[in-house]
Parts: sequence; structure tokens; C-alpha cells
Amino acid sequence: MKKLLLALAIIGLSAAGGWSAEILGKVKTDLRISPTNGDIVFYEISGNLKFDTQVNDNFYGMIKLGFRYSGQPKGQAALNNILIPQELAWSSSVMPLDILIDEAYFTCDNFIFDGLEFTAGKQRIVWGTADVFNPTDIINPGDFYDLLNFGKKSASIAVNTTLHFYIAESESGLQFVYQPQSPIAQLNLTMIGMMEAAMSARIIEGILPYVTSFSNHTSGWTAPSAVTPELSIYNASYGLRYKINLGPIDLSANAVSRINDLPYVKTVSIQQQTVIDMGGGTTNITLNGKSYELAYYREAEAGLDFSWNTGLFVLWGEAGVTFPENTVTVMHSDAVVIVLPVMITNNVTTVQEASYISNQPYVKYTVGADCLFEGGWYINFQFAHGFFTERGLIGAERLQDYFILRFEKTFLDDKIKLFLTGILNVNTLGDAFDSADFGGYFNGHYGAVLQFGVTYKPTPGLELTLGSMLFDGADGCTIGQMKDYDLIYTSMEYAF
Amino acid sequence: MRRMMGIFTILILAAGFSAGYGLTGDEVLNKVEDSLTGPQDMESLNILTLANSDGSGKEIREMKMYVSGNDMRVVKFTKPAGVNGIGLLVTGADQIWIYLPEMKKIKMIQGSFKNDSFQGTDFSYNEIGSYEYKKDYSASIQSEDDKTYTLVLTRKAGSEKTYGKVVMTVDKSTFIPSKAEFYDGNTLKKVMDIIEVEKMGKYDIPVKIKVEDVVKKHYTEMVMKDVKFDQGLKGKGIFTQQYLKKKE
Repeated sequence: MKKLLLALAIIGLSAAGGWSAEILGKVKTDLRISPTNGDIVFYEISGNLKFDTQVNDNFYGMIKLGFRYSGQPKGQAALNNILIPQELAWSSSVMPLDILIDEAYFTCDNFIFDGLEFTAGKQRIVWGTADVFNPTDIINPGDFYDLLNFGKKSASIAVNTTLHFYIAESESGLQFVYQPQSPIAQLNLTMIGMMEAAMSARIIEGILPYVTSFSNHTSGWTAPSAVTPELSIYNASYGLRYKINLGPIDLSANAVSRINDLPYVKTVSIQQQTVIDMGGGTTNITLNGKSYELAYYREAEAGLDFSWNTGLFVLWGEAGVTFPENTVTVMHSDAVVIVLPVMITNNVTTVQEASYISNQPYVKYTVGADCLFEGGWYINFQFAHGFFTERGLIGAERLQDYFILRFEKTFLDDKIKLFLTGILNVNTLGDAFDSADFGGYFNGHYGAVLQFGVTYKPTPGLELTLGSMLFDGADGCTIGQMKDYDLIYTSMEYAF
Repeated sequence: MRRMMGIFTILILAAGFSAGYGLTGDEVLNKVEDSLTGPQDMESLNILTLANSDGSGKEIREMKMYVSGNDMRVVKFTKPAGVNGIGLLVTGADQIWIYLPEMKKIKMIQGSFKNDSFQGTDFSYNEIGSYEYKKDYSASIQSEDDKTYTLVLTRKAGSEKTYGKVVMTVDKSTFIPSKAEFYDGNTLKKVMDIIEVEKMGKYDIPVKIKVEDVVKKHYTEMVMKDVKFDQGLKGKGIFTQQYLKKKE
């Protein structure tokens, strides 16, 4: 309620303050259904209101307020459709509504001296040139709230200054970004569920082969936590970027120091009871509880990117080498060990460490090209080494390979657009070629997604979409793990 | 005296010779292009009306346009809301960028679609704010009367223009075309009418232009308002990626 009042107050102030702001808005409805079991996997109305004004030649201000209204009641504790009876009396549980400040910033051109652009506030920062897969765009935190919009980045609170100047006739700029607090990514429950499932699997793999039985191992996690970076000057991010246009070529180089926006598993704790029957020669373990803690780590990155209009098509490339801090997962095991038949009881604590992200530098890169043809045809092809959520050379999150191909065709003055996207994911191509059995390795480490659909714009501002995403593959790669998430989706978006 | 008469006669004959043959088609086309691209640069607010040829399905769009020379352009859509902020920067044949405000992204786009429809209008990307013909066409005079020339423009070898032939009616006093018909082979595809020309200072500026796609039976009418010219836009940094992001 406080959020709503705050939002209304901002709207009222901006409208009443003689600011003469332009008001634009957008409303979108989304409905996604699983074709395999009929579940509604996403059901939401979202939108935003944007107030902005160009006060004079040099000064611009804007506020964009967003909202998300879910058609699904959501329990405050379980974060699913299981509510405590009292929650049925709370509108925030029965009709969950989020009010967000998507962006709020001002920009001053020719700040202090000519050519200096200064922007402060919550803003989406321009960084990198590649299309969707931007491995060097790490200054903007990921927004994984919507799985279908996987390349989306969030705005963050930052001071963003660019000095624009010319070298000969070439437009050039030196950009410096300071984020007082390194922003973190918004995740979604599917990602968190997959991460928990992977941790559970590792616990089972670490115990089950060595014991007679392992019971209660499917129990849920108890009080897991995510320790986000403290508000401290030591947790700031910095980015420096130089860009230049050389006719049909845009080039830029950047360096960033930040806290990685995705968490890593810092600790996993399990409580268990182990019964060793010396007479029967059996070892039976019962899991009494398990928990984990997520944390964040610092990294530095240096990147290069280019975009080249060849005349026939646009070619781009983007590569970033990342130098991560060494991160380890500490596994605590507290076991009550009972030895039969002598009935000796002992408490045994073991601590093991395993590398999560090693401090070895790794290179994430994308190369791609796209082309618009007369008659409304569009083709986009990319190869990416490293998905948005991937990092490092080892472990479950190591960089994998992706081929992406997209076709679009528009009809009736762009009112109707058909689209088809195919993604092939291999973990990794290098390992597949190194393997003695390429086919066998590939079958265990590939994933594919096929997306197709149609959008219809009957009138400017209104867009209706009907589409489908079909996943396939093996568990040994990122997309393969999503093979149970096939969906049919519809959306209606209106801008006013 | 007889000698003076002889020189006078030669001069009269020379003048008559010149008047009789008049201008060639290419010379008329040069004058057309000079008259249409007279200002060093131009800024305007363009109101576009899109509709079916029978007047149904009318849509109104608004865009700010900056033009300098034949190849520098900035176009920014301001209305309706669905396209607000989308901008296009052209600084050369293969130097085209589009600004997508939703993603705050400036994306380089290639130029081979230049003959395609500009954002669903009946203008192509090439035709918005551009009156460049002589580079791609050679012209001959098909007919003329007291007030107009009728030119036939034939596409030159190697040109990327879509239309092989253009028939253009040109006002003799202003060298502003009043009508142009665009043919693919012998099939009429598109008709452009310059409905209103306004005298602004030393320039004649077409301020109301209608383009009709006769195949799709759809037209776009563009009315130019708040026209300003010769402001030194290039020196003001208008044709830059930095300016492309800026709100109008």
C-alpha cells in the first residue's frame, strides 16, 4: 500500500508541478500454457507509465513506473498458491500487485563544459553493440523475471557521464559509470528451483553410492538465505568505455569492476543421522535437514566490441575476458552417528570445500550478423559462447555454446509478422570434438529450442502475439534442462 | 552598317537556335534536384496520414525530420505512443542506425532495405526527405507545354533503385515536380503528388506530398510544418548517435 501511495504521489507531483511532462503508457497481458499438462505457467497483466520532459536543449528528466498484477493468488510464506487461511483476507495475497520504479533519472547535456553528458538516477545504460547476446554488457544487471525475455537487463542506480568529442570527422565518446551499490539480477522461481534441484542432486550423488539407504533426501530446504552485498563504498561498480564511429564501423572498448549480479552457493549445510550396523554390515542415513546460503563475489572484466555495416549485412562481435574472484562452496555436514549393535553415539561434523567459480580468467563472446531484405524478410544469425547465466570454466555454470538463427517475415505493411527462432545449445563444442564419440557426447550434452509465432498490429500501438516454444535435449546443458517447459503463449500489448 | 546587321542576325539566330532546342532532359532533372535540395539543411515536423485509397483505415503519425544534403538524415517518431522515440540516423550510403528507446539501444542496420517501406508508410527509406534522382536516372523530355515538362527517367546501369522508369511532370517556372509516376517495367507501382509548394525565403519547399501505392491501394500523405532551413545542423551535432537518443 505504501508503494502504491508513493507511486501516486510521484504521479501527482509530476502532473501538478507545472513540469509539463509528456505521459506515455503501456499495458500488456500475458498468458502462457503448458501444452503437456495444461498448467498455466504465467498469467499476468503488466505495464508502465512514463513521465518525461525535455526541459530545455540541455536538460531531460524522466520517471517510469511499472506494475505487475498476477492473476494467481500467492502465499506470502510459500510463494505459491498455498495460502494460510488468514491470507485470503489480504488483497496482497489474493490479488498480488507489484509497483516498481523502472527508471527515474535526469540527463544534463553540455554539463560544466560542451560535450559532457551527465545522467544520474536509476537508468538503463548503453553498453556494447551486439544484438541481445551482449557478453560485455555487465554494467546493467540481468532481469530474469520473465523467462521468455531472457536477454532483458534492468536499470540500476548510477552516475553515467560521457564526454563526446571528435577525432577528425569521427564521432567518439569516453564514458564513465559509477554505481554506488553493485546491482544484482532479479531471478525467477524456475531458476531458483533448478539451482536447488542441482544442489539436491549433488548431495544425493555424494552420499547414496556409499550407503545402504538414504531416506528423506527429497525433503525441502530449510531456511535458505541469499546474502546480498552490503551497502558500502567497497561494493560499488565502475565502468569505463571508449567508443568511436569510423564510418560504417562502430568500435568500443570497455573495462568494468563489479560484483557479479548472480549469486553463487557459498555454503550448503546438511543435518543427518547415520546408523552403522556393524552386525548387518549396513549404513543407513536419514536426512534431517538441509540449507544453503547464496552470496555474491567481485570480478573485473575487459571487453571489445564492433559493429560493421558491410552494405549487404551488419556484422558484429563482442568479447569480454572476465577475471573472477575465487569462490568456493563450503559443505557442512552435521551427523549424529550411531554404531550398532554396541549403541555408540557420536556427533561428527565434516567440512568440505569445492571450487564454485575458479579465479581462472574466462572469455565470453558473441559473433553475429543480420540482414533486412526487401519484401519484409529479416534474418539474424549468431554464435554465442556463454549464456547470460553462465560463467567460469568449470562447474555447473561454465560457459556453453549456442547457435541462434531467427527469421522474420512481415506482411500487410508490417501489420503481420511471422517469426521463427531456433537455438542449438551444446555443452561444449570443444568437448564434443575432443570426445572419442562425438555423437554420444553430443546426445548427452545438447539442447534445442524452437520458437515460432505470429504478431498482429491491427492499429498503431496495439500488438497481439500468439506463439509457441518447444524445448528438447539432455540434462547435460542449460536448454536441455528445460525440456519440460514447452509452452504456448499469447500476449496483447497496447501503448498509449 | 551591313556588317552590324549581319552580327545582329547571327545573334538572333543563335538565340533562336538555343530557344528552339531548350533544355535537355538531364538539364531539367538537374534543375529539379537543385530546386528541391536548395537549402543547405532543413528541419520540419511531419504529419503523416496513412489510409487505404478509398479513405478507410486512416492513421495519423508524427515525426521530426532533419535533412542535410542528399545523404544525412535524422528522423524521430513522436506519435503515436507505440513508436514514440524510435529514431533513424543516416550519415551515408552504408551508415544507418536505428534507436530503439525501449532497450535504449542504437543498432546499426544495413542499407539493402532502403527501397523498402519506411515504417509501414508508402514512402521507402530512400524517399523520406530525399529528392535525389540524377545519380540513379538519366532523363529525357517526353513532352512539354507552356507550363510543364514531362520527363521520362530511366534507371542507370548499376543503380539500386527499385523503379526502372519514372515519369515526372515538372513546373517550368519553379522546376518543382508536381507529379511522379514510378514504374516497374511497364507496370505503374506508385504515384507521388506534390500537392502544395510554399515559397519560404529564397526556396520553394514542397510542404504537402502524397504517395500512393497503386498495387496495395494505400496512400501516405505527408504535411511538413514548422519548416526551418540553413541552420547549420551538421555543425550543431544533429547527425550523431548522441543526438539520435535525445528526446524531441
